[in-house]
Amino acid sequence: MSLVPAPEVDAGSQSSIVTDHALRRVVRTFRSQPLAMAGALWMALVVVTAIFAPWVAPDDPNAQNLLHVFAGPSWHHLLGTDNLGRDTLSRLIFAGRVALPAAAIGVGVAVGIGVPVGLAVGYVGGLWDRVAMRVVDAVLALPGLVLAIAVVGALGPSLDHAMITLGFLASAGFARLTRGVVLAVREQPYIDGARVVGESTPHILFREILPNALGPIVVQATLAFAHMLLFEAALSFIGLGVQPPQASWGSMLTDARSQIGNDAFLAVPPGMAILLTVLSAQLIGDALRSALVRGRESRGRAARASRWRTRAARVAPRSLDSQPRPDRVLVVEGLRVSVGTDPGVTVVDDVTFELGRGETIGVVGESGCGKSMTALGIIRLLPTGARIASGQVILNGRDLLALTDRQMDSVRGKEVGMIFQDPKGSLDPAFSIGNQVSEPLRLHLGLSRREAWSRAVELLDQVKLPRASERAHDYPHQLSGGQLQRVMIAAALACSPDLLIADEPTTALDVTVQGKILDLLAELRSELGMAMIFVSHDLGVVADICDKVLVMYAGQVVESAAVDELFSTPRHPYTQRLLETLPGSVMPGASLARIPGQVPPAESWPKDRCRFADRCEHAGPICVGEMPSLRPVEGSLTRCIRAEEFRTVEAVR
Amino acid sequence: MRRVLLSRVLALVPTLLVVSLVTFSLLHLMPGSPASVILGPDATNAQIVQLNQKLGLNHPLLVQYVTWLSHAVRGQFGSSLLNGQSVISMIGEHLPVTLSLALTGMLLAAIEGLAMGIAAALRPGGKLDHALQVVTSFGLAIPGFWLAMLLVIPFALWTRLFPATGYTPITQNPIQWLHGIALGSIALSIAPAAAIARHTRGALTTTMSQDFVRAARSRGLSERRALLKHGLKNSSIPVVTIMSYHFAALFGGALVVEQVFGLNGIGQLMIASVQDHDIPVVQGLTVIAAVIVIIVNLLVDVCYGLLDPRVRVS
Amino acid sequence: MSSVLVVEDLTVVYGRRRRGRVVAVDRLSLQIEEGTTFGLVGESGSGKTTVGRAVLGLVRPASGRILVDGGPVQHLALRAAIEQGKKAQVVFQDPTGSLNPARLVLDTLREPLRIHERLKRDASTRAAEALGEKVSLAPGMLRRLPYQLSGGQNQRAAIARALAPTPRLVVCDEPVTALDVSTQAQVINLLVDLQRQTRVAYLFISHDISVVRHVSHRIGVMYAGRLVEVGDASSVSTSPSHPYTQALLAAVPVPDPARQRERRSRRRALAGAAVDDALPATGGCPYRLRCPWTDEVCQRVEPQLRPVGEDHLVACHHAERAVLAGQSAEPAPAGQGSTADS
Repeated sequence: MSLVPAPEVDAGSQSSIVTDHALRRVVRTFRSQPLAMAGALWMALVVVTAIFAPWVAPDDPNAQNLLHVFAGPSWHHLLGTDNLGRDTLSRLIFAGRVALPAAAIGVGVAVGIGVPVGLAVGYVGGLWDRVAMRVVDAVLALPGLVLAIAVVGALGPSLDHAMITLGFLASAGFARLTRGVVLAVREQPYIDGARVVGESTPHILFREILPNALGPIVVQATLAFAHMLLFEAALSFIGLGVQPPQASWGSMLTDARSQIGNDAFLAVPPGMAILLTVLSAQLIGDALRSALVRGRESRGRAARASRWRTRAARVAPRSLDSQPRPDRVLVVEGLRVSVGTDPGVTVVDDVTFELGRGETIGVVGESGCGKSMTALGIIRLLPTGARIASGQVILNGRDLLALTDRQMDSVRGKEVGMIFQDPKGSLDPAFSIGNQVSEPLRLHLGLSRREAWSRAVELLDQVKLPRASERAHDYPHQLSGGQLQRVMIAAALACSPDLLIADEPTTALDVTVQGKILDLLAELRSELGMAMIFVSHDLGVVADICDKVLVMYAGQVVESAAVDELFSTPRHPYTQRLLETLPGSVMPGASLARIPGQVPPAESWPKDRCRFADRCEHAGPICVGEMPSLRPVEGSLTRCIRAEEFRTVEAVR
Repeated sequence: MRRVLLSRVLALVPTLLVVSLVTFSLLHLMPGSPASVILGPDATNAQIVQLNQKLGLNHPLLVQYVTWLSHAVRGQFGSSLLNGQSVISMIGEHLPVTLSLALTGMLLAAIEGLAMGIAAALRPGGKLDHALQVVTSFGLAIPGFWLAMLLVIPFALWTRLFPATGYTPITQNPIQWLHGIALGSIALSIAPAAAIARHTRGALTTTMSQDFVRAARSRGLSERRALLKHGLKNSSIPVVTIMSYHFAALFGGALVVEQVFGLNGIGQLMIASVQDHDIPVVQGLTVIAAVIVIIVNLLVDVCYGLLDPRVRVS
Repeated sequence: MSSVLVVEDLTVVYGRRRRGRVVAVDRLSLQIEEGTTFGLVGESGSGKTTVGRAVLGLVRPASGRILVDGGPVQHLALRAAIEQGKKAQVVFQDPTGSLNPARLVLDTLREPLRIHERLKRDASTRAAEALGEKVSLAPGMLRRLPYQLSGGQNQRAAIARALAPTPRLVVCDEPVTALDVSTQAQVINLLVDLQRQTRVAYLFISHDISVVRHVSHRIGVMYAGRLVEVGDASSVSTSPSHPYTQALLAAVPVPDPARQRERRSRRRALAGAAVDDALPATGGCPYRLRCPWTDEVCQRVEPQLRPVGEDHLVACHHAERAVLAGQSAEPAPAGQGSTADS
């Protein structure tokens, strides 16, 4: 059968939505950024006055009046007159008719040559690409102004010749930029998908790839316009641009230079005109970048969002409810993390648990449920924008949230170690692995460089890195993912911390390597006796290494139980469903249980009802009446109001 | 490492070829026959034939190019059409002035730029960061030669703290040399410094949000320590790369800034030669300028290799 | 039943120079029948993705033959191969990279309709909306950019795009790897349902053997560019005969702590002596550096695929020993990740 039904009449096309999106983003950006708006207004003013110069300018720009030379600003001459008594303002306005078209020619040539070349060599690749890029690099390394002057020398003084030359040289930059985008985009699966679907090469180039490059090209063109304005000014200043008496901002500065002893003010208006116009072009370019270049924008946002902040909220140190118990390494009490400006959105809501020496607690749940935020909150390395709103994290009887930043620095790596999901990204490519394992040793134990190094080699040996003493000199790119995770473990455990936080430490690894890392962690745990928080989305891994488990949903702990208890009798419908969605839970090919919908974003988590109710098949009116609390049911803790009932229903099945 | 260096040097060959082709073709870009342009409208036929012979213009194009190239490689760019002086010696006279300005300017730019960039990155979004954002915006937009004029007015004309013109060779008196080029170098350094500052800040903020910085923090490094160790080393690679691009621009800018101070550098020589159609001098200057920029870029590339273990090891 | 895909002696080599030349796929053969799923499993770098790309014409094989629906696959260089697009389609791993971020989902869905059904703008919009419905995407969702949709929704749109030309074969390259478990179940169910409706065949590539086991009729296990074990899905997963397959199956942790504690020792035994994730060996058996059964024969002779049961081939000199030992250690790890039997 065909999936495609018989076509019917017009339903309207929607592709213009994309351009609308872009335009709306641009308008929004300019509205929200006063500086960009000011730049745009100034640029508009310069363009309009240049176009209508004969009507706008108060005077003939070349009319001399030798009786009124070096006149300061007055009502008659708003910006004064020059050494020949010509009106400065009028000359400035007419000069715009030189600068703007000259810059436009330069940018036009640069875009006209650079973009097609970049598109072509980027897509075709191979030898063409290598040759073209060699030439591009060569051209970019040349001093542009020198070549422009040389060409003027050959062709005779003409601003157009110079600007075309400069545009030609600048085209190398556009070629490189476009090629870069093409190269990045053509590796994307969706381009392969388009090829497999049967789209033609021109179609792929212009419909699939070019739209991704337009944003960066527009931005670069605006910035190139600013550069071209500066080049024009420089060329006119040294007398190789427009010829007198025609006014240009640069040539007006030449006059000002020769009269600098007589009237210093002459240098101010033309310079300001250049400065403001170039500045405007740059401000416009910056605003367009934030509006149009989505990748960079979001990367920028991520960069801002992920400066690892250490500050805890000013939580009033609360007296401990119970006496500190010596067998408890860690007590987390009512931990709440929120994101955004106060009060913000709560992403971790009232997490409470305890951990004894040598004990491992698993934290499971889907992405966006607050697992990692809980882990990062405990070690106080939350991304910027996120902060601890309330709670206590008591490690060895001391509340970490009450410590100063400096005190916290001395806890991290010494009393708490952490390993991360992506071992490749978590080691600095610019330093040897031995150096990075030595870091905490030198910092916390005050070992000398040499002592720390030999201890680091021992540690690498302990995590079973083969030939540790040689490999300590290696850089991260020389090791495999599994080996890098061993290195991370060595660094995290260097000072024998009491607590190790492992945030999805095996997710990025092959399954056989995962097994080895799990074995290693279990072995080190029994040797060193540290407690461990193990964050994972993989229930099998949790069953492998954990003693007890927290199941998180929408920022809350919905179930907490010993590991055997949790897997044999889950007491929250979410836990139950999570187990049933696994491919191994039914006969091959049979339909897997599904949880309808998806984890809602944190902003829409309800505060007065069960958060899982919308996706729960057991939900009844009672579930949306109030927020269920985490309550004990036969040795487990569950947040399900109907835990007993739903267990019966499941048992009948 | 040696292989890296070798490949960098080999990569220069195409650059130099492009330069030589552009420069050589200058002579043939002239509208009409070069000789008639050079000699002006009143030249006799005999004079033109004689000049053609002198310039080798009666040979096929390829032969001319090879001949020119083989001379150029040995630094022979012929002699000036105006006064018959050898081009290379003319350049030798004028080069120190411009080179002094450009290299001092670049050094200043690197120092100013790195300092501003690091300062801004220490607390992104802070007051200092915002202030530096504004400063660098202006720095990028201000024409160097105008800034030079603005500096001349208070510091040379009004207070006479610095000379408004004049150059002392460094071999003669280093202090006076520096005194003479100070204003010009400062003016030249501002634009590249602003660009370097922005790149440094950007690279540092990007690096500081990398996972390996978070991992370093989890081992107990304070934010400042992490920035000074992991941040700086990783950011230095992109920053060093862009420095090389800015040197090319700065060198061109030096030719213009010379004019403000009436210094007799290669800018002066170039402008005069262009106005007089003294093509051999223009050709020589173009090649030398390009070679200087290329040498600086090569040095930068070598630094790059030293900084990045992925280039250095294996 | 006819073979939708026939691959014979496929070899793919990356890199041209002698240094850095990598044999990604080494003399691999497989067949897929109409309406069935062939699961290709292996760790990263085993070459499984390359097989998929070769089948689609996205990489040029060094040697060997690939027939899709009886016709040879042509390399998609610069010329579009429209006919091929009607036969084989693809769903990739990365749900955000599968769709062009600069285009509306609707526009992406309309492309295959424009090319293969020659539909005009308005007709293709209608048809695209109908396609969307098949994968439970409302028309409003289609008029969004990919970043405005969730990972699961993106992946459903990618499936709709792949099925638009009604292909005979869809290459699914890790289609659920980047998804959360609940979304993963939705997408797997969707793929299985669509197969029942359209009799499409899947080449299902994944590193996750429990997912592969769930969707596949036959399974091939790849190591170092070679097929080391291939056969009926249930016999490969219940009586794995290659030590590597055994190690893979043993390493999958099951969500049952009691059983997992037993499996841990088996995992350790089968993971072999090498502590390291050792690179494949050259010469002899590629798996010999990680294999607990390695002996002198393995160093000299490269094992070839040989039958060990009905529709069950394995490339190991010591398959029989391995099977026996495996059985004594623990009953074969049947239902992977099973909780149903706990």
